[in-house]
Amino acid sequence: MSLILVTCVFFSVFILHVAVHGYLIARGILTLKSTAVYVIGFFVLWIFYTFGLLSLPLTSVVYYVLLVLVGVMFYLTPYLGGETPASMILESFGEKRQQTFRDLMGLFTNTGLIWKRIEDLQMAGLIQKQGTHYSVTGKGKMAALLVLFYQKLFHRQLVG
Amino acid sequence: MDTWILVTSGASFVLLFLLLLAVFRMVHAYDAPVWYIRMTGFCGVCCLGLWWVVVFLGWVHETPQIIAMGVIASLLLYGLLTILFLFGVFGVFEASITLHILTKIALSGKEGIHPNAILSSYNRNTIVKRRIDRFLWSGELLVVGGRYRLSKRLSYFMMRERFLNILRWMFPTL
Repeated sequence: MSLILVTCVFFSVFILHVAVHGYLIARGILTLKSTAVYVIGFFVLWIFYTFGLLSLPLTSVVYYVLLVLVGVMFYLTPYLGGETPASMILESFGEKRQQTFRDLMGLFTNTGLIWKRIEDLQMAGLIQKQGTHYSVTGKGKMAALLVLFYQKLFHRQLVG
Repeated sequence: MDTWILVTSGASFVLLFLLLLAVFRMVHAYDAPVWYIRMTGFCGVCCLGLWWVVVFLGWVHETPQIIAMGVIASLLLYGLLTILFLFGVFGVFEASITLHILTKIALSGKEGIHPNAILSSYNRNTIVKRRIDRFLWSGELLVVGGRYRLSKRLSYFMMRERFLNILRWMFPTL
């Protein structure tokens, strides 16, 4: 019962998030602050708890937090993930059933794959340009250390 | 009951994390996603096993219906944790070109790196080749007479793209 209520609360707030995002986009505003609507869910859960409707309060809160994290992650996916080279390669087979390596290479340019990402990293303040060279900023170093820690921990090589 | 749900789901996820630490050291890099799914299933079964132990030892005194609800709640929490790890950590760190470039720049030290130096070792050729190799390894692509073709009508990446299209529709960008 508790989890059904939490699921309903989450999806209601998620629909509200989609609506708020659509409203802001229509006015030319793109902001992560739209995710603040999920706080409403905590108030609703607290009200449910006060009225004794949540038999599993701890589980309900953790469940809601996880749902919100998944929701925010999926919200960010179109911005962070975009159309990936992997999916572009597979999608291209819809138009041409058999392709050579050259055909597949022709789908991409270094500008789209590398340069745009370097620009994005610079705009995000993760790297900086010093003359003709690029180096990481403090924020970028932290992000890179996180990646290197993951690779070391899971014994992974540089992929991507 | 509330605590046991959190304990069993949390313990299952910790077990998954530890197993991945061990398994990723042993399997081929391209097999990692398959092993992630296998280990997720295995730890889901372990979650059920933990509940069996908890009930067998008499640590919960509830009706079978309530215990069944507890098990479902545990699996739900565990499932959400694995989704978060899969898409939020594993997926991003494994295949992100941006993070690859960032790491290359970070490893170049204080003096930095010239973009041409990045391009000499990491460019569209290496990026496309790596993905084709991965698809050939996973069996999503076949080589016939020097040409590539799809071997499956619906793949993980195809489904991902469909899902992303729904997300793009729900959360349009400027």
